[in-house]
Amino acid sequence: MPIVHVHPDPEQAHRMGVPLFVDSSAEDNIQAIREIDRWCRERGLARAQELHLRTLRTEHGLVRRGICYRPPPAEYEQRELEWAEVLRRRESMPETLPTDGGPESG
Amino acid sequence: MSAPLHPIPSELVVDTSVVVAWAFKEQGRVASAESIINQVQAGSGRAYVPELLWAEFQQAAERKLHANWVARDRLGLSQPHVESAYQSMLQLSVGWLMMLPALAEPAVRDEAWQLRLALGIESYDAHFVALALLYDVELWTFDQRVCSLASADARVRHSIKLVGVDV
Repeated sequence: MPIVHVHPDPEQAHRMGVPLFVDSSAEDNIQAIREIDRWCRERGLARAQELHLRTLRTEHGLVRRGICYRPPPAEYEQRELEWAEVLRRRESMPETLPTDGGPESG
Repeated sequence: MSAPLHPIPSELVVDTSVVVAWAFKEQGRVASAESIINQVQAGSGRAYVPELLWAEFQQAAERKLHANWVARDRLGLSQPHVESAYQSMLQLSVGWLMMLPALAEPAVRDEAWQLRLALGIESYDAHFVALALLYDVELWTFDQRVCSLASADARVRHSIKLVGVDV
């Protein structure tokens, strides 16, 4: 997996209360986003949702740099609240027919 | 907990048709769409979408309003309902879908162009398909037309899963 450098390491970053840089040597921006995102998820971290990662030349070669952090419990709680709100809102939504020419729309 | 209706892979590209079916509770599709989105929300799989999703979603939302005007009783949706679906989509998109910059990625752009030329897949759809092809993930869709056009190329068709038929 071409994650070539992480600084500082996740535990140190957590103790310091700072985000960390995760560098990928992936060939393009999208592949780097995917790899950094996967690396973060495997460690219980979240990736800042940048669409265009900074590209820079380092001692590890040309890398794309993502910013990651360990989400505080409040962030998870907020997500749960937001999903509950989505579900609540959907209760009052009536069914509709597909309008894209699918089989159900005739 | 019962098994999901359509177990999703660890990574997939989700087509606008799936999100629209979910947000607007489309008949014949909503159960499948909810199954997919609920798994994404639960973290069972990572759902990639190109930024073009929003343009297509807005187009679909507008059609729901137009449908209301044309066939009020069969398809009708009030403005508050459309706004409500829009808000749900907004929260889904920010919290659980992974937006990818397809238009800005030369490889995706070029692949989409080739798909358009070779198979006649419309530009927006071609970017979804290109994303799936280039990054070796499946595109899950309700769009039979795209599947039909893609059937001329086995490699492309293999990357697209028609929900309810292929998965």
